[in-house]
Amino acid sequence: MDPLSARYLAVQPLLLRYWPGETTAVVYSAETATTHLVSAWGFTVLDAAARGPLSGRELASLLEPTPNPVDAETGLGAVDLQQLAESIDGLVSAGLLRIAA
Amino acid sequence: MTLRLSDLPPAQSQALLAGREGLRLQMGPFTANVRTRLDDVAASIYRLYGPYTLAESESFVDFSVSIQRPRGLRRLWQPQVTFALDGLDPFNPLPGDQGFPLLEWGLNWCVYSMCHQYLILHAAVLERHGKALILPAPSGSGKSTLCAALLFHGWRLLSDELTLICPKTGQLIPNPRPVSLKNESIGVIQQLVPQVRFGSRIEETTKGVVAHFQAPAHAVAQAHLPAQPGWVVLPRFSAGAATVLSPLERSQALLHLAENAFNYDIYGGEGFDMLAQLVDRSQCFRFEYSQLSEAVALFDRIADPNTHSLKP
Repeated sequence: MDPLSARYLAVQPLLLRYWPGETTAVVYSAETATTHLVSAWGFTVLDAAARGPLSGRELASLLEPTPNPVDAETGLGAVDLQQLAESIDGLVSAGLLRIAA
Repeated sequence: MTLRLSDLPPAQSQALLAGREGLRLQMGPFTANVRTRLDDVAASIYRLYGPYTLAESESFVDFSVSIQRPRGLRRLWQPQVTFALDGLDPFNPLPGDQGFPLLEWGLNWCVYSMCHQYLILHAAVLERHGKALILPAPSGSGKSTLCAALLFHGWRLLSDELTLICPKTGQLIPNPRPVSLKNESIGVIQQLVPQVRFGSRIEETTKGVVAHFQAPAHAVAQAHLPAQPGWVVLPRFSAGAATVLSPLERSQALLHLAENAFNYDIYGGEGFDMLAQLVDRSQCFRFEYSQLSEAVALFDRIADPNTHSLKP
């Protein structure tokens, strides 16, 4: 499955803490009673996907809100798509993000 | 009138320990009723718990514990000791000379396995100017040695092993008890602080050589005074290393504290929020050292309210 076209939802309830300027954030999943260290990037993904299902492309646009040269093929900005796909995959594997039905 | 153990003659202390009633000691927020008929354990209790208040005989007891010889013929040729809580033995017996360390380990176990009114971390905790310095670290990291050195250089001991966090206030609750040192640390602290009151040196425990020393009397007397979060520092002793203090991200500090918590799973999301608030109110660092004198000087500067730069 193309990670950018799938829709994602953060597991609930999820507690997120990020301190501005830090490279990492912490997440507590009440579903699994586990605490995770995630990248600041991962935090942004989870924070957005906690409010409702979002596609990988929508997450990418959230991560890159300022106008950028648009890639003609993907329609996305200069965000690192590979990094986004890996981040999403890691969050799904950790049980923090799930693919929405 | 407050009566301390040291106010009793040694023989009376020993008689109480050996009697049915036992000896009730106030240990920070807990009251322990201790019984033993073993002379060496009774002597160590008297030596190391001298500044502690004796609780009233009608007072509530959190833990009723004893150190005794197991029954059986084995005691005739290879004496052992057992720890009992309310008459039950949660641990295997240990060699006969390890009665006092077993009492201390058993009391720690009582606190972290039963006192869930606090979020409990495996970390040393000290206080200065009302702020707590939390030192979470695994065995062998130099945590106990650093803690021991600091508590003789202006820091107040809250605990050398168990950090108690009050869920309502986020404050750190003192539980000062005899401080445990192992192996080379014993000689290092004896040399650094010759006046320190050590108990017996116990060889060949599962942790190596172990010795306890008495918590400073002022720390015991101020065990009712909690502290606010101030610093979370992950220490690491490394022979020959330079003294290096480096910033630690709060998120990483939180994860480290969670990994060192005994009852984090019981608190769930509330525990996460408590640790988040704790690191939010703290400065967080990694700390590598080999020279205790340099470490003590650096922590002096950390605690100085006028310090703006923490470069070693």
